[in-house]
Amino acid sequence: MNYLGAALEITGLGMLGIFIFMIIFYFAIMAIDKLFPYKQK
Amino acid sequence: MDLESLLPVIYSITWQNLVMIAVGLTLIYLAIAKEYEPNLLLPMGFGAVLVNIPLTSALTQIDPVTGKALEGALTVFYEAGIANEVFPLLIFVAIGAMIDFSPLFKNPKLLLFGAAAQLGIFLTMIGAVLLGFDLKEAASIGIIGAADGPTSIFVSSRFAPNLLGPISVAAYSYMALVPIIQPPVIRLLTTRKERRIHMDAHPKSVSRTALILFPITVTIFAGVIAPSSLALIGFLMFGNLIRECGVLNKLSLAAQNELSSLVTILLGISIASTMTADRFVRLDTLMIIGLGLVAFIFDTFGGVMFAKGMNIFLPEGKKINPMVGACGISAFPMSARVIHGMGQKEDPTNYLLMHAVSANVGGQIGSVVAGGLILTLVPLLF
Repeated sequence: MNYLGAALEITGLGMLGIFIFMIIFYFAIMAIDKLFPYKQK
Repeated sequence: MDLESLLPVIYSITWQNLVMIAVGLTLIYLAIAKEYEPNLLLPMGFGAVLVNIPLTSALTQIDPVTGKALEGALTVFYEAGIANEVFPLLIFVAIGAMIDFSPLFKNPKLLLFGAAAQLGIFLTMIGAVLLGFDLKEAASIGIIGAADGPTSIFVSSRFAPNLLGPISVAAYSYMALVPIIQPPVIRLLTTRKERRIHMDAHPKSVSRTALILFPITVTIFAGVIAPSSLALIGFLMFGNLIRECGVLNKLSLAAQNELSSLVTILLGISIASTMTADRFVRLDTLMIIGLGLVAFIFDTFGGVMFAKGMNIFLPEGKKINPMVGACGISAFPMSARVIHGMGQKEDPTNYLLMHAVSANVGGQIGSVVAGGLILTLVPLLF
């Protein structure tokens, strides 16, 4: 594969990958926050 | 005995060495007079002077008489800390100990800007390929767009150690220039009405358990999905766990202060060992400096346009100020401060700082994830 083709493929997969990671982290934050909410002592 | 053997440096020095000494002095000037990332640029600048004086004992030299290598300290530091990626990883422990992830818990959807604002990395990589760099070099140049010095050093030391010097200089210089680069790009992409959008505050406290579980969860997910990213993300999250666990305050402070300072000194001066005239005074360097600027511009573009895209689907009153999207880069807290300042300029009653900080923290995670993905994807496709 030429460099340009590979770079375009990495761009597509890379941006998709980052969004997938961030969406997972988003749900992780929501779940953690729901399971362990802040309680005033 | 003639003058040449008495003062061999004078006879060995080339115009390229002089250019590099001037570059080194410029970096020292920018660090001291302009306070542009002085922690890194000053050691790099001084190191650049040190390694460009011919026959310097700071670099490993071959003894012309015996033919044996005489080890230089900077070469030893480079091999001990950069070639094996230890110094950037130690910096990640320090950065992790400095990051407070609680703003993300207040408005987690802003995490997505940490993804959108990595666009510059990939577009710059494509640009670098079009300019003739091979894929690994192009990926290393693109990662300047992570706006994250240690990630840039980590990726380029693995993929393109020959370009480490210019990539590090570009990354740290543009991070310092965020207040100059981002505002005109944002103004170009947004209307005054958009820049005056107010966002609801989310006053909320986060439990200690949640803050402890977050770095552990992120590490496990990252490891399962992309094991190659684990060193980057894992060390960042390890530093954060030290901070949040509450039982290692002394270590947390040591990581934030002593570890960070010591490794930064070693990192900066070790990178300078690659800033020799033969490696630096080339057309490639100018192209890398130019591409670095492109990376920061497209990062800002990606973040702002993603926010504008989200606003199409968000109801009135819940819309996001698109300037906040530009904070999805890793330059923390500079980008958040710049955006808050711009918001205040447009409307003094608009307080965007909390939202900007959330997006900026998302950018710190996003840049490391991007680095990890580059490390995973490039070997797969090349």
